Amino acid sequence: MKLTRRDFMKANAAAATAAVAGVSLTAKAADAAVPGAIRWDKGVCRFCGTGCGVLIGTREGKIVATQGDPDAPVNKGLNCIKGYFLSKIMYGQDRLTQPLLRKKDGKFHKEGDFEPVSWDEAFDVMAEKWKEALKKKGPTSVGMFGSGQWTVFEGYTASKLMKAGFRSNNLDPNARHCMASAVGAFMRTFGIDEPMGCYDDLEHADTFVLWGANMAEMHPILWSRMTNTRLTKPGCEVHVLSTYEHRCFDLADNGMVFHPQTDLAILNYIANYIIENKAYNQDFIGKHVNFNATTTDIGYGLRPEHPLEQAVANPGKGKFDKISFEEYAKSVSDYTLEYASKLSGVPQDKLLKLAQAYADPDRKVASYWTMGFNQHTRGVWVNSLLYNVHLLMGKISEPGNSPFSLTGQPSACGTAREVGTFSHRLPADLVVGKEEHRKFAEKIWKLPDGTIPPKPGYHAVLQHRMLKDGKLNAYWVQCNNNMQAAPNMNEEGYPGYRNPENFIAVSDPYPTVTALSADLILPTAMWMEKEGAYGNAERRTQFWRQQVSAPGEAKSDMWQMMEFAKRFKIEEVWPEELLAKMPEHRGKTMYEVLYENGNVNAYPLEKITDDAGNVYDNDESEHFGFYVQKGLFEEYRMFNTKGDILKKGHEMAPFEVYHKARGIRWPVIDGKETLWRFREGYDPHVKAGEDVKFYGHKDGRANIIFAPYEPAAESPDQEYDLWLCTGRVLEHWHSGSMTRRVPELHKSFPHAVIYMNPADAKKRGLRRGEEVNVSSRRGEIKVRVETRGRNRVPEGLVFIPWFDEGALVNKLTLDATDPLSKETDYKKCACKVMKA
Amino acid sequence: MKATLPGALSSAEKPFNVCGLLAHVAAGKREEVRAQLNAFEGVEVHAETEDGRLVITIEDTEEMLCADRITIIDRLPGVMNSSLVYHQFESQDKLELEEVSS
Amino acid sequence: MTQTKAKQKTVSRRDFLGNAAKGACGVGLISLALGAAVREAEGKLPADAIRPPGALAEKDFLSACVRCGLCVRDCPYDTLDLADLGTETVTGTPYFNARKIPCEMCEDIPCVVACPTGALDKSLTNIDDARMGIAVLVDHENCLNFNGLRCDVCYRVCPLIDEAITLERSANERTGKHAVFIPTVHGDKCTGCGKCEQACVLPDTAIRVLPERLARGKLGEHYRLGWEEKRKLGKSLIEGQHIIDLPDRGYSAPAQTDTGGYKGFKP
Repeated sequence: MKLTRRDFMKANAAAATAAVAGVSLTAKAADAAVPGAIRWDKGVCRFCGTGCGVLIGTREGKIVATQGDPDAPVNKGLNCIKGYFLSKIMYGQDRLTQPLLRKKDGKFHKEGDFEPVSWDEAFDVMAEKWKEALKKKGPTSVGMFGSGQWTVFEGYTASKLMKAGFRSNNLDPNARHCMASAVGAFMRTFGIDEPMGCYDDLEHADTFVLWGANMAEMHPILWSRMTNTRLTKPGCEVHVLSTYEHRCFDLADNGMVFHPQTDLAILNYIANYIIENKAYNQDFIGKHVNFNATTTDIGYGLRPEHPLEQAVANPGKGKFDKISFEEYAKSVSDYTLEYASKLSGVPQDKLLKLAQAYADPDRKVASYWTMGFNQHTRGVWVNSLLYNVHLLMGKISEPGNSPFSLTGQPSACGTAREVGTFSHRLPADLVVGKEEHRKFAEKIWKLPDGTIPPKPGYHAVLQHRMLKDGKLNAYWVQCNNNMQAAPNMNEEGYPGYRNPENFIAVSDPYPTVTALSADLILPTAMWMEKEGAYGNAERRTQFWRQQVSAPGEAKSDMWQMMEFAKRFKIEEVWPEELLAKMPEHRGKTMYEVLYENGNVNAYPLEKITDDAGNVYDNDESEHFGFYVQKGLFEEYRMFNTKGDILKKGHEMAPFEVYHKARGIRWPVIDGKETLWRFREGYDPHVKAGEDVKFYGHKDGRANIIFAPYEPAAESPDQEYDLWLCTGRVLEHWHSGSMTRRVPELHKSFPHAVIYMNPADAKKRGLRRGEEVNVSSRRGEIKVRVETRGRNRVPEGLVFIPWFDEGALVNKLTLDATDPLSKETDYKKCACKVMKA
Repeated sequence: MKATLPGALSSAEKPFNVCGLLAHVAAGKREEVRAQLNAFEGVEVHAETEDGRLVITIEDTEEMLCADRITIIDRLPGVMNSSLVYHQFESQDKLELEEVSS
Repeated sequence: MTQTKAKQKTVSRRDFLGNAAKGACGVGLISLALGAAVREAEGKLPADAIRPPGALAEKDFLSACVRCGLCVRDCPYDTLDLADLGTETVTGTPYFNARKIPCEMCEDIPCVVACPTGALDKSLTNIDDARMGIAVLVDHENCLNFNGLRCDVCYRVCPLIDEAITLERSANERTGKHAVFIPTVHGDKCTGCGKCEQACVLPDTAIRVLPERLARGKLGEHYRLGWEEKRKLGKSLIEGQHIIDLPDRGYSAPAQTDTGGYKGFKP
């Protein structure tokens, strides 16, 4: 038997004392003092989209240790500083353990204080509010905001609950703030979502280009892989583009700071350079590419009455039309080196060096981007412009040649994107707008034709607007901190939550800003307190078993959704004409229709063990009486494997396989994972002799889509004279809801600061460390000035991280979005800085 | 004012204490005392004799050192007498992860 | 960044004397005070006590400092403190413990401005020139970055990032595909502010600010690092001698690229 030193000491103390007392310890007492050793099981990190494999050490129902899994292909045992503290994230002092409802005089009151209530009371009040909204205004008055941190199973549960159960497409994930622009461009360019390459490109490329990705801090383990390649591979070089200098510039061979928004022009210049020098891959573009131009002057996704929208010719229009290669060449010909350099502020020699790297047929180029591209009022465009460059050269879909969209959340791919939690989507890349797609989903879900509404629901930013306008009245937020994340909190988010017409429920493990802005807080089981699955940025799906039980009455998001569904008779949510098509559903609860449909409840409860014989709990399965996660996953898998599937390329392995593997990259076909898609030899969907096939589109071709430079929504002016850029820091993850509860991480970066150029500080008479008021047209916050440190901003731009709930930078940000992807531009608005 | 005490150990060397305490409890107070003991963090009752002596282990917690806890237990109403039978200390960093065989 | 407390701490000379008297009542402390007296004569500080910016060499500092506490009063971050009787630091003199509250390196250096005697050198006007001590990464075995993890918190909190602390990169031979980033302190830039020591996430810090006498070794005066001398001079020390290098038979080195790497092999 193994025991720790501490246990050993205690056992000695008890035995010695008992001997003096003349009693012998009973076996039970001895057992209590001598608990078992640590049980280790595989898991995945709770934080970013890298998806580092970890081993979870559990003893006596508590996670006492973690370690990087030395055999995990992504990280080989390494972690960043957040991963190092994983074992502490579930044990913050203010962990929520029971539902809390705003009450006055013993009953719910919008202006009351939070009081503990039972789950029954919580769901009674919540269901009453949802039923009231449905009755008054119909399904568009209910909605849900989910997460790329949900497990795959939870995302799928939500998709069914909202789109089929409540018949509302008002379901959107926080991935809207994060990945929507990347998704938009994947669909437009390739007709199928997610990267074609994988992390192995990090070893294969000769040139790395970072476009608005601070990998050194945001994807620390991938950065470590890239750095190793740069150090060990002769001739390898790294180009970094950003609107300010960050830690990646330290390694950069060619570091470029450009004026905000001008990345559009730089990319068109590179395309122009390639064409002018006839460096393009004629064979590739002849066989595999269509040329197009997109509709221009499309606005900024603001409220229609906003002056900026009034002046726009084609608000929100995403249509693109085929053009010839010559027309495309002419379109980019305006973007000369001189023009691009003048507009962007990047010296000509640096731009030229960058263009040459892409144009050199002998160099393999991997491009990486994150929020600098995605959180952009032209996010879809700028993603496409980068694909244009790779496609012109044919540098795609093979080891080292890889345009690669990095993700911010652990399951932005696996959950938010793959199982259909966006307001316009259904599982496996299907969309609500297409009848054929809806019918296919309804068939798998065993629901009558016409269950799923055809109109896309409210996306993230629109949800807040609709809450404020009183059109969305019953609202549920799970697994994210949107009051701290969503833009323009003062004018949209907070008034929306506090609108007396609305009832807001928030599920979270901790009392976040969002939870405390709601009417009902539901305590949530997190991470290893439930069986789960995440899908990382390289299409790798990773499973874990439940390791420990949640504290108090905390329940997983999945449990909450399925239990809530029991509160509705199907007659209360479906109209009679729909019910008449499947009368067998009459009298059932929504839970029975959705989750006891013969698919989800197809697998009986089983004892969950590993090969070493350890036994694991599964609280949801024990509660519902069947293996819930397996049922949900296997039903989702039908979208990818059923004989007549509409979209191939998303094939997943059977459920059990994932519990045995350290993650598997889809498509999984014939028991093999896929590392590079669309190319013969790597991707089983490309037949012999086809070479390359972009099978997401019917003609097998990818789209090069020309888009011009258009300015940002709000630029600095006389009064608000600085660009405001927001983002993350390595020590904290997103809003700090978990990392700020780890004392060591909190201490390492306790409060947000404003990174400012020393010249800008001097001009305003500000000292380093001094408190200042930062304000925009929408609000004001107080932070301290930092003129040194990790981020070196150019004159005219300031950077504030968003992890600090004591300095909510989203009071300042503008709710301008990409009109196509509806993703907010958190990187550009105007602000001013004054002495506090 | 804060000060650095001479001879003070850095926390790496700060010992972690475990004590074995034998407490003699008055006949009518046993339930009450046991309940109080069980509520203390770092305190465990391992055995009990018929004449009312309890075998207790106490370990350092973040809030309180063994020594202070012993004083509190000794002063609990119903505890007639307590004696420290066993004391062991080890440096903190070895405790959590090192495994020893028994 | 550490929050400034709204109320500044005031330590009057009378308070200090009162406290000292109370302290002196403790009989057990007498021998310890003796210890301090001995150290006072030696002019050496305990390793975890750091003097304020601009402090003269310890012996000179002790004779110049009048124990007035004005530097402590004017420290906006409550970093500085006066040593108590019975501590290893000479009673009544200012010091700070970096692990608790480090020096925030104020641009206007209020502690130096406040010093009435010059024990804190008035000629220090640029805080970057302060030499309070030198950070030393003392524990290579437990430092997370040495093990290949991506912590580097000490590096990112450094007010002189990339100057006083750099990350020196090398390949991680164990994983074969990651890099190791070694935080490396440069003694000629480090001010000894202690931000790194405070922020280290380990329960016991792997990086500590030490007085210069403990932190630095010294190269023997009889030896020079050849490449450093060449760098300083900008050319070989024997440039004038026109040394020749005969070509090697049958071998020509591959041409280097702009970035110092090589072009891939092509038959």
